[in-house]
Amino acid sequence: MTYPFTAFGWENKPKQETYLIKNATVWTNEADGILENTDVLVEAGKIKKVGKDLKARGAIEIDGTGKHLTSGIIDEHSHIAINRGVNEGTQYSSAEVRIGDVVNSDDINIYRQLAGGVTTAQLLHGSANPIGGQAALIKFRWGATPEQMKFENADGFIKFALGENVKQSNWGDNYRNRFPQTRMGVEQVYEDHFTRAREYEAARKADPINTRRDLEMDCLLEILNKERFVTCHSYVQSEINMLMKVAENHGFVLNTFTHILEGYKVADKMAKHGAGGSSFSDWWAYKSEVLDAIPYNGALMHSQGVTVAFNSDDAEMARRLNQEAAKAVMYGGLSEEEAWKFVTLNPAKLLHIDDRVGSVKAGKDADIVLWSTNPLAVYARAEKTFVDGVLYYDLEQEAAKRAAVQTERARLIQKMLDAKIGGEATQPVRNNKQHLYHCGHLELGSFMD
Amino acid sequence: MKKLITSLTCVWFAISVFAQPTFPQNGTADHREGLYAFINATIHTSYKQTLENATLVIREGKIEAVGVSVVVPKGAIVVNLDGKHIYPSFIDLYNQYGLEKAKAVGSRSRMQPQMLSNKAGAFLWNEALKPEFSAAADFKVDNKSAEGLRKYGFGGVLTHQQDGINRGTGAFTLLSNTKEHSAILKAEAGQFFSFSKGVSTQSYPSSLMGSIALLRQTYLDADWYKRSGYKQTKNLSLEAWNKNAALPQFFRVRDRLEILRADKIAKEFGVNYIYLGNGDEYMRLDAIRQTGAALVIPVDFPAAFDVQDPFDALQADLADMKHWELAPTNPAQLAKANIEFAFTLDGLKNKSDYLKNIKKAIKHGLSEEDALKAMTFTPAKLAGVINEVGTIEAGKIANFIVTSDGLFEEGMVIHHNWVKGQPNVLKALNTKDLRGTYVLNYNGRSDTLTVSGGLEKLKFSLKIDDSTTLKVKHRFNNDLISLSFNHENGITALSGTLVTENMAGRGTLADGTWIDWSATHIKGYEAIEK
Repeated sequence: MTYPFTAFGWENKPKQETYLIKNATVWTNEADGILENTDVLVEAGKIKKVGKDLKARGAIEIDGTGKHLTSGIIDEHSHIAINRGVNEGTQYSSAEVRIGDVVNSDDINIYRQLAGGVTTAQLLHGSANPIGGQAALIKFRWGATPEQMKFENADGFIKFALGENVKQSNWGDNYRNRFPQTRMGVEQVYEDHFTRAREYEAARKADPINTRRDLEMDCLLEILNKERFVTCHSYVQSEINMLMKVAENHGFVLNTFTHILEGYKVADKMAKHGAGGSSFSDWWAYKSEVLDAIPYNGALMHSQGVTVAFNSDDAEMARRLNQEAAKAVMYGGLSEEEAWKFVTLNPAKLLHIDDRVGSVKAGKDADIVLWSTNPLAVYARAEKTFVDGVLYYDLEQEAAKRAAVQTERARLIQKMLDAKIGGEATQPVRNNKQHLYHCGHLELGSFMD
Repeated sequence: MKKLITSLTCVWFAISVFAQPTFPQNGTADHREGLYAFINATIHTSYKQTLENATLVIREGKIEAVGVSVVVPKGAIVVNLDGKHIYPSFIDLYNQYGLEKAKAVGSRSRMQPQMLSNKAGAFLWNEALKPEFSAAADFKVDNKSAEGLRKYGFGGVLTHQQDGINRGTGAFTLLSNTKEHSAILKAEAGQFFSFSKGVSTQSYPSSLMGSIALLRQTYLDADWYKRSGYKQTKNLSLEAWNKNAALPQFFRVRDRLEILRADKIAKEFGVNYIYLGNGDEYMRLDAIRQTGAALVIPVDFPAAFDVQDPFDALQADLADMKHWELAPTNPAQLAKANIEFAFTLDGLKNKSDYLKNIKKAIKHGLSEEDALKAMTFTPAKLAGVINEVGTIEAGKIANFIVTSDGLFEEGMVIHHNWVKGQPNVLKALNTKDLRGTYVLNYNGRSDTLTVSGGLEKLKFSLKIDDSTTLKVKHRFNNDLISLSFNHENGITALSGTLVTENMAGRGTLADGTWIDWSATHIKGYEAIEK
């Protein structure tokens, strides 16, 4: 028995321990900046103390000499760990659906991303609809159940989307009659829904008994009442401007624009509005609306005072977000410290969890990573990844783990061969190609079982 | 007691001809009580009680009395089981017996989005929600299917149309060869849910989270409808949804995490689901136990992979291989965690694997008592019919099987499956071993008749004289025997019955003359040492 029931699951789930990481280069993400030869004490799931020559009796000591200690990477835009569909793309507003209902705790990508230093991810609905579904925020507590992975008391978010995907530009000829089919139609989706949400609010206030409760409207109302926040897939400047104006008309701030590849064109407006930008570092030209993307986007937005994050939107890239952060140094000349915040403190701010994570500061959650070298280097490897002071990934153990997986595989294969010889019926090996979701993934044939 | 089986069959036909109350009758009345007494039986009255040398009396399809000192009533047909076993017959809670497979309402041109339901009428906007469907209304007795289930020891099923997110109600039916009026035990025995929209051609929902949102919204809508919505709109589906809420609620899930997902809905709306799982519950045992829910689990343990070729072996997923190894431990683990569960034969390609796999589960730690409980008592309880079936007690329906041995013993054979007091003979009791040597007296002759071969493949031969031994064609069914052999001018055909060790009867010679014949047993069969 392992938890979860896959390779690299735990036979015995790891526990919170007291750790003392000694003599590392600590990237605090605070006013202290990057501190050399510094110790970090982890206790009861929190960062207890950051300082020089710390002592703690009974602590497990980890030698950090020559290594770098940072807070864990936070991926603002992820589609891993989701079961059976990332898009409810059959209606143009699916605000009633919740990624939180379909979190897949048993996805091996969680483990792989721990190995890349990621500790928290926002799991998003895809970009099939102008109004998508409610997001889920999870910590990578590998082995836990879906509910146990959820980031406690976090603000609720919802996915919006603009551009080609939501007006079904590339869905094929069978998909031409869903409203909206134009960008101006997309704007009206929001105007219409927010107007209806206010009407719904009034109706429910006036007559709570007889007014039908509508989960979709409930969610939209949360946005208007600043109880839920929007992360919006967006590319071209016109639609970015449009949505900020719509938000202002309805009295709320658009929290985050994601992808935001033309953000550099409207960065000043974004900063004034208060919107953040969670972007790719350097993706470009994969469809018409991203032709004007440039890798300096992040740095330019940052220079205007926009809170900028780099995200993955991809199961594979999420394993090397540390390298993505480095591109902010390469393109735009940010300092290493500022670049590192693109994958740590800034996404924490965008997600409103910077009071708990995103920097190495006493009192915050012990979601930290010990790197073999400067985390921005391509040579860097995560050696130890902690979530809530639990060592969920340890490079030292990795070789033994892989050997154990091999041994177990060999044992079971032998057992199956014996079974066949013994006359047991066999079946051909099933090839379970895992679905790696991305924004545009649609189960168009509908998922039937 | 002679020719017992013949009389059983006759009585059975008579009962099936008996008219239903309220139906007119064409002909004279011929009502048989179906009064039988089974004596010297090892009766497993329930999963936890066994009576030795006990007697079971049934009448009018019901159990009249069961115990060690029951008096056999006058006029009862007595069946001496000679130590053989009686068990309550098995119950399957996930079945589609007697119902047609669901079909999509209307069609949609491939890949074109379909926004609303194609179903006409005042029903829910989504085709995948069919609370108005009633299995009892559509149910038709299908004796061929019933036979296929009776053969493996089943006497009753909870049948529902296995399609959609809300599937309407299921009916508890007995596997009797009667009209539907007699077969249906409980017309509304449960409401069924799943996360799959099935044959619905409607676009929404296309994701699991969509299915979940749809269910939540509909629970809210049903509540609103009940309170005041009915004044604004007429919706027969929501009315059915509200009506069905009083029934046991079953939820079909595809993996252990779906149990936890469905349970969130259950807790939110204050309902209890009984989960029809897929056998991987042991992977998240604690979390599932904490839901407090009862389960219905399959025994379709996965087969080993064919990993002869090392490149194939490379493709095999470790989790799948681990599951192959641990799946048979699932029932034992659930029992150990005190999770209430019933077995279903859903998922099995061959129904004969039902008992075979349960025995495998017993080898992997499940107690025989817990196994029998999951096959009989618990399914009856979960379907709300424990007062009628599931155990052998006076007043309950006569639904039981007669087996040659303990249920889980090697080589156990089901002799009879009695459904509502109707016998279904699968393998006659007292199948005599005919093998040996006889003197066949016919037409003034006395020739040596030898019966040899395997028990299931007998060989008859007749020695006419020192140089001639004829092959004899035979048919032996219950106590009836017919023999024929070709000699000189044609075929001599004999037909008769078995009386203790001897046979006797009438037959025709090659020229058509009727004769009497008899075969006297002189020597027993001696198995040849291998």
